[in-house]
Amino acid sequence: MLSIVKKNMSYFIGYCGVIFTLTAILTLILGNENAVPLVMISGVLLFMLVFGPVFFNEQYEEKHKAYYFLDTLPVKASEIVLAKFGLVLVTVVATAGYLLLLFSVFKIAPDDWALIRSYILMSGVVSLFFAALSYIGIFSLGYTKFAIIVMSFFVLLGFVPIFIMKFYRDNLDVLIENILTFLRNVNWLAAIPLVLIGYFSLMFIAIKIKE
Amino acid sequence: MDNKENILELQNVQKRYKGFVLDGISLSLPQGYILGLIGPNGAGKTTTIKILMNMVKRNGGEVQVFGLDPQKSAKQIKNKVAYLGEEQYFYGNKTVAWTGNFVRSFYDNWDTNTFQSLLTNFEISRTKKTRELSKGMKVRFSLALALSHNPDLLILDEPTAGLDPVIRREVLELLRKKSKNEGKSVIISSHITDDIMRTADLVAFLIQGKIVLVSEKDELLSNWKRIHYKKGALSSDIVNSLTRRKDHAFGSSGVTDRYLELKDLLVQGITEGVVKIENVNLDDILISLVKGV
Repeated sequence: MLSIVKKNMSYFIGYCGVIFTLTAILTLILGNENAVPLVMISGVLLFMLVFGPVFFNEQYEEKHKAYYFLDTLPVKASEIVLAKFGLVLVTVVATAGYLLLLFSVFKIAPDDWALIRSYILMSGVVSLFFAALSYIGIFSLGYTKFAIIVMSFFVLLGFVPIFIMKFYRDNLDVLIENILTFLRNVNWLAAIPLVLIGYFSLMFIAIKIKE
Repeated sequence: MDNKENILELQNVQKRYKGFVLDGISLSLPQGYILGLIGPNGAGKTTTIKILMNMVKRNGGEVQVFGLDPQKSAKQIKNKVAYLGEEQYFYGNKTVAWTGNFVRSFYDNWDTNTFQSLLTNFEISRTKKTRELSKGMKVRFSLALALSHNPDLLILDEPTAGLDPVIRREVLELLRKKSKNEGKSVIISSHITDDIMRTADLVAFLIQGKIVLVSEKDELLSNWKRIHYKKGALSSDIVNSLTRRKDHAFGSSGVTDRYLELKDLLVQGITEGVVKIENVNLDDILISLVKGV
């Protein structure tokens, strides 16, 4: 299993290096007064850090018929899946931890800090579940079919702002405030175990599909 | 055949796909023997082999490899099996050396010295990327990977398809040596019957998802003969028992699968020159089994 982790790690390390450096430079350049956009961008980067390696790695596996190759070796499907899910989890935890550490240099009110922390953790949760569902989709449908579905999903996601502007134009401030209140009020001590249970349940489903 | 322990047993194995059924396959392989699995394309050879490797899940029946069920103990079985498919897949942008190291990490009995010496014997450069290897080189590299963990069973699915005669012969010779000198068991599937003829001790014919004949190769070739005969030289019973009957200017011919049984009845005709016996090859037997009379 470790050799599969090692092989897949190169993708994640490359992306991590770029994103860690980029966010550090941006934090130094933009400073305290631009904390909000920087944090917002970092959440998106965290998502990209999972999305990119997961999809590029799976595309690579498909191109080289790697699952067929691995199938001929004495390795269990569960070890392959565990290696993939484990790597995503470690990446998300490390990146979220790094970002929180990085943003702790900002001099901001405790209430805003709670919001930043919550936003970064939420980005991590979304990234985790996106990766888990992506692996389930890829193992069930194959990379090519699932990539088409994901691309279609992102195209449809582009319509969300239009939808919001049409139906929430007059209540946009309320909508944003509701989201911020939700983020401020998330009890992460209770949420993190639930997130992990959900993530490992999806991993278990992925193992069953792969077997 | 000696009473050697079977390292492989299939009992009434079934697999259903849309438009194809593997219909109650039963087979066994004693240790140290080479089993040739012969059949036309689409007969179910690859499916049978993939069931042994747990690369395909069976719908019914029992399978035991080294006494273990592949669906429950695939990892243990694969540790003792070398598998070579018709196509060789590797991470194309990785080198031969990297691939060797990667594969090594999965096996308990990997022998780096064997791997290195096989690479040298096969003239495979360690620094070459696997995508730069030719088809023949890929097969040689697969064999090097497959043999470096000291497997007890080698499973080869159409390994020589698309190879030039020199490499084909080399691969078959290697299998023969592994079986005779080291007591390894081998299953080789092919529709190129010449490969099986050169290597196998046992032959199984798989046609339309069914095993229609299993026999020791020498016994098979002793029993299956083409009989050429002049009109009236054979009794109607014998003539009717022949398959692939043909009439031509010099008389008639047909194939029998019980020559040893008929031998005494044919002696007189052979002496008088009205009956001639011709050896058949596995291709002839396969065609007889596929097409019948």
